[in-house]
Amino acid sequence: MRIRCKCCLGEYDDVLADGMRYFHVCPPLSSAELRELLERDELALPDHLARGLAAAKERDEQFPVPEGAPTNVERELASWSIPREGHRDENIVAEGPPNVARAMRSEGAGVERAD
Amino acid sequence: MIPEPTENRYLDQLELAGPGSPTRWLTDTETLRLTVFNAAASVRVALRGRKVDCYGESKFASNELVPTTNRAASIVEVQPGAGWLVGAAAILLAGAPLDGQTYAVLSLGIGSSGNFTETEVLAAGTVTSAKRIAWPGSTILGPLECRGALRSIAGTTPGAGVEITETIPTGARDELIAFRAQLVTSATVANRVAQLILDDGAAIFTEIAAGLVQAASLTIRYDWAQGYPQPTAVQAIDALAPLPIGNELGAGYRMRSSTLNIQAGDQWSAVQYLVRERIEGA
Repeated sequence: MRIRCKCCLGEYDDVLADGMRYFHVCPPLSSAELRELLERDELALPDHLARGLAAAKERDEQFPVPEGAPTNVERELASWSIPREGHRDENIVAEGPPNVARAMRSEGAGVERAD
Repeated sequence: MIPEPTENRYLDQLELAGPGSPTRWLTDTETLRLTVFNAAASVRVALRGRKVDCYGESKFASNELVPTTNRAASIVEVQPGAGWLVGAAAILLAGAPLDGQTYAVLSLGIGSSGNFTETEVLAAGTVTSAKRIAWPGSTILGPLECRGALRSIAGTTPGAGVEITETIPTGARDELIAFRAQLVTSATVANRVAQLILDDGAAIFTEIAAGLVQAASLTIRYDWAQGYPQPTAVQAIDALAPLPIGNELGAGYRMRSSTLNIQAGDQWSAVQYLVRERIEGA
């Protein structure tokens, strides 16, 4: 069955062609999403990321990159791994007794049929 | 009156098992357990044991298990009763797991179910339709001591402007052999640089740029694979880049794209990757 994740809008088959189960996990925010959130001032950054971003901005001002090349800020954003709100992780929790159903790590925003 | 079975009284009955055969005396409270860690669909495994009882009669004990497909432990037990255990085996009854997708452990212990205390491991290893594990005879192999199953996996097609992320499932250990995806860029002017990141779920330990700049309104297929040389562009529609040889990714590790200058309308798709997968168990 083709599934759409309501959180990240990713689409996938819950059972793959080889009959094996597929465990979807939402991707972290992309740099395009991070740029947008930062522009709207809707992203609360932990201190270490805020410091890294400020340092990258400073490098870009002091040593501008050639036209069209990725900036230091862009490289900094691309290195982050910030989970999105409603993040889904279909993997089971790692610990539990045998013969007892294991819970999904995070239901997140849920899924819907995509086909 | 029927005499109580004891180890010494029935030593002579061991001849029934064959001269020199390894045997093990079982008490009434001992349990033969099969633990299976499985990822393949429609698998059914039998636990079978044979004992020689106090009257010299050979008796079979058998039970079946349909293990879960999430690589977590599933168990089944039999209590053969007092006598000499002369053989035990885990045999695949249904399903077609590849080597590395179903791992079984035959063990003995006191008590059963939640009160089971494992005392001995008789045999352990992967099982397939052509491969059983048995005691006596089989060795005790760990779940990673096998070739592993080759799997070609279609990953999630992310939303527009979102990166690819594929995660190694709980209980699995994968070697990433090849990773392919396609990026269609929107009309927004920017030079995108595609990279493949390998991380442990948080910290990045490998970042491999594809060695190609992708401008607006273009479609480029990206291939990362073991054995490829330095990043190379082929006719500006296909970018090749290497992967670490013999890499191993544990449960929760991620393979993900990280595209410098990705725009909201850019679309990654056709995510396909080849792994050699084994079970670590969960």
